Amino acid sequence: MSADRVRALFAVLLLVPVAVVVALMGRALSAGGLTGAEVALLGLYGILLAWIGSGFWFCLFGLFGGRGGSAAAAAPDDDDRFGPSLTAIVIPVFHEDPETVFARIRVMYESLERTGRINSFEIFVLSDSRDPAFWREESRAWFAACLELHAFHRLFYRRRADNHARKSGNIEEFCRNWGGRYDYMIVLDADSLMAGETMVEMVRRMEADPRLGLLQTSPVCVRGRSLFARIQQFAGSVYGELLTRGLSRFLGQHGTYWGHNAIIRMRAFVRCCALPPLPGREPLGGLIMSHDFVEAALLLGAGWRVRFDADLGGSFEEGPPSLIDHAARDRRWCQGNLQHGYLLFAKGLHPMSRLNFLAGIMSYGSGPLWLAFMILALAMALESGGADLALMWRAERPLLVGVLGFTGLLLFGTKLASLAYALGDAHRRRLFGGGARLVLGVVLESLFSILIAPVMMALHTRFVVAVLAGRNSGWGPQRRDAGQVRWRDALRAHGGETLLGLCLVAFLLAELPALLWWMLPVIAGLVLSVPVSVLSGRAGPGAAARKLGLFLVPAEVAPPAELRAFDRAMRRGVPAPGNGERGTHPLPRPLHLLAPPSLTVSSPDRPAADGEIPAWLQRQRNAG
Amino acid sequence: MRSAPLARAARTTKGQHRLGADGTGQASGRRKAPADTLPPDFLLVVWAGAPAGGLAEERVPAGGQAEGDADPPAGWRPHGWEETPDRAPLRMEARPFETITWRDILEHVAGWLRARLDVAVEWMVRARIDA
Repeated sequence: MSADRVRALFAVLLLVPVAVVVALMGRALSAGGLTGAEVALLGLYGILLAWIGSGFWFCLFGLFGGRGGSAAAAAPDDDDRFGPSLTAIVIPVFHEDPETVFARIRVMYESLERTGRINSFEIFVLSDSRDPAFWREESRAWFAACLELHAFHRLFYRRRADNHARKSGNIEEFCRNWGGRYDYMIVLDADSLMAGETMVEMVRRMEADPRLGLLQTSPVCVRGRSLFARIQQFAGSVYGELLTRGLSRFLGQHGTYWGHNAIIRMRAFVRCCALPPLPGREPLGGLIMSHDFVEAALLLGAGWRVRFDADLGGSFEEGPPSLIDHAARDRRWCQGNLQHGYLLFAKGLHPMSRLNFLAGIMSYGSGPLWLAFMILALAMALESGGADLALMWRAERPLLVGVLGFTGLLLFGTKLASLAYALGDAHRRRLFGGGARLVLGVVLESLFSILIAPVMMALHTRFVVAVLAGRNSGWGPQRRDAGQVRWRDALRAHGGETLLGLCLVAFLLAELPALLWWMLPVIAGLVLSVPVSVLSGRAGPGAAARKLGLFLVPAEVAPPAELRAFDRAMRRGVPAPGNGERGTHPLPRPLHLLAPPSLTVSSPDRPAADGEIPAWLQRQRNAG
Repeated sequence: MRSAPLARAARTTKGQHRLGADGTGQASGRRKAPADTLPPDFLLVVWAGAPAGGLAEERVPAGGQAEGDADPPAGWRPHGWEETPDRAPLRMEARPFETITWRDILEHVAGWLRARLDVAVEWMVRARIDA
């Protein structure tokens, strides 16, 4: 079925039931005439129902639509389709742990070597680090990696002196100065890991379709240590396969870009994806923060295809270790997505791009909408003097039960369908630790998501209000490792939510005690936000869950070679150059001589009277 | 003060500056850099001091770099850059977004209606001819 037909079918399946349910609710409420508040309530309910319904229908499309994948994909190991192209693998970093970054690079380099295609790839670490300590360590780690891999001619490091426009500017600077050498560019984050075979296959698929501008993979979250990270990666693994398959079918050739674990045609990117600042002042104007969606939209607008191939495995990333880190990342993404509101009305963009922007806005806009819905419903209940729910809503009880049941189906149908899919195959069950553990994991994950949903609602409302009030989020470095989430940090982060929950309890006890049990999931999530955040953000509960065999994912039960190699490297610790392998002295701190004029030369450590240069440079000098 | 060879490497061939407002655009051909030539130019790491071990045997004193001699001259490329023309800088031009106006919407709707009208007229003419 073509993507257009899939979208048409999706629209019908999504909107018709929602419209019917909202109409029935409206008819029930209109017995005494519809008030303004009731109209608003119905409108909010319809929007929220459509939003949660979209995930449900993506899941069903993924379940019944087959594995999908690209019709234009080259056959495996099709040497004729892998031409003499050159691909740059770019890894922008900003105050990341250099040892971990280069440990991943070593794994990917060796994985590419095993494919026999290493000559078609070159790797760039593009640093925007400001702190000289990071900069020095990055260079040392680069040098050590080049020594170990004999990769001076294939693994490169560049630090920008001026990190204008952050990540998008970092990549743009690379493209401008060195992009002419490359046909394609694979963009990775500092925590990304990709199998060599996957990268080779991505290049093959680009070569098979000359109109393909960008190919996005579906990275799987791995290596979560904290309970929060383990639950998130479990949810991603269990529900993600069907969701991403359905999304891939829906998007077709008009997909989007998530900023990493994707391959881009250099020529298309250079021609189309230079980003202007948005009009107005930050946070809604100025530098485009969520640049990935916009770059995909510009490619689509210029006639290139943008595809999301959910069937490509071997693509991994790591998620935030705690609810607080997750919220910090969301704050940035919320601002970036709200900026896209301007682009909804920009000329030259494909309608699917506008839909992607709208979906991105709704990812955070749904929080305040849900809060508004709850406030309206409580206000109406208060006005009616409330005894039981049906009376308060002036609706028939069977209808109310039907509406709630339909809402529950949309909310939990994705989980049930994904669970049934995973249970339906013995191999898949084994990959999640067995059927019983899988079911228990889904139940516990569902309880956890019910607990944190009201917290995210409150946080997203706070973020949206902050952005609209003109407060900039900034872009600090992301914390990736599970550590101690301190009680005072959690109190500072979630004190507002806790207070909101306690106020809600007090209000309900005083005015609407009958609603207390109905609101219990919301109250529990808000009031318990601090302990949930602390306990889920620590490695200890995560390790305990792992020991009990809970929240196991395929990447743990049957880890691919790249993950095993990376885990070994992290357990072993990356050898410091010069420590027992290359002599007895540690490498000295470097003087950096950075070449292109766009970079400044800086020398945090002045050399001794006689500096030294590697032999290859000396050979070049002598040849000149 | 830079040594003479390094200073020579720090200048482009006379008068040639690869960067500038009028970038040269994407080169049509590409040559792969042989494995033992200079890697892309954006990082030369000069290590101060001399560790023991195999690498130290290859090291050659370069004369160091003077205090304050921090920035290379504009258009600087290391020795060997000109031999690989595929590394010419590319131009990426950002164009400001334009917002859809009411006029655009009306023109779009008018165009759509005109297309439908053309189809309807064609159908009517064909029907009359058939009749």
